[in-house]
Amino acid sequence: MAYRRYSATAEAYGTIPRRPTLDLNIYSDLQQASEAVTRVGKWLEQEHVDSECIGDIMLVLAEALNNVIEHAYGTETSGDIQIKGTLRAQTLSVQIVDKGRPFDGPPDEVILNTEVYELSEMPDGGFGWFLIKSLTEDIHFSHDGGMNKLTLVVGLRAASIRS
Amino acid sequence: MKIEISECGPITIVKPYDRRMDAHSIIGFKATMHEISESGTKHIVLDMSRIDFMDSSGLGALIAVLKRMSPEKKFEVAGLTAPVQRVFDLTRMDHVFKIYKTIDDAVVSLQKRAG
Repeated sequence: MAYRRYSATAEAYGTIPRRPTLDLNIYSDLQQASEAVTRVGKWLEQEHVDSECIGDIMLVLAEALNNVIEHAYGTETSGDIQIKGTLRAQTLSVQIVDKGRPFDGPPDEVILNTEVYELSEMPDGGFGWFLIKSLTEDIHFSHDGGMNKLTLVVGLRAASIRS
Repeated sequence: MKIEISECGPITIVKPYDRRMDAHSIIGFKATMHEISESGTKHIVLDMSRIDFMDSSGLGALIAVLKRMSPEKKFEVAGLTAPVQRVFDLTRMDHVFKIYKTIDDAVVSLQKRAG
């Protein structure tokens, strides 16, 4: 894979709480974002997270990375994006850090009134934040030091971690 | 995106061979679907049975195809895997698209309607 840098660590010894993490560093490029989403999915499979949860997490990450690439970096394909996943007993948090244009933060509320549209008026975009908000338990955002830092927390169902 | 295209009477069946329909992979897909919809075919069925990941860019590409079809032409989808069905359900696009379990179901239904 074409990642610029890559490292993965896992802590799972004795009585120390299980807290595996995954760090990925990619450029602001749609292919690298797509590969990073796949890599996170494979990591979660290795950590025995259930497949439905993995699908949701991959979707949330894909939407967030698409937003960063489109809005923070625009046509620039060499912007830095750091992705850090931290798996806890009941949640997965993914922090995405970029140095692109400052982001105003996630929308407070996203309402999808697809039922009210005639087909010709149906929007074919704008679903990204709706999906992120639908599938996350918590979202944190800050902009400091020239960096956008978005943290997405996805709940893992009780039976999610099989080990 | 590698795509298999087959004809069944007035129906064009489009089967992507990629497993993903995301912001990266749909670039070529959009152009191909545009060509097919402009080619004089009557109906299009998209066989999604190999797609195991779709994001909102992929969904947006499907909505764009649906909107471009003239009223007498149908664009319907079949063979949705669980993660793809979930995106349709969450965005309530399951009420906008005609969805079939299998490609055969879609073809039979369209042929019946075509008389």
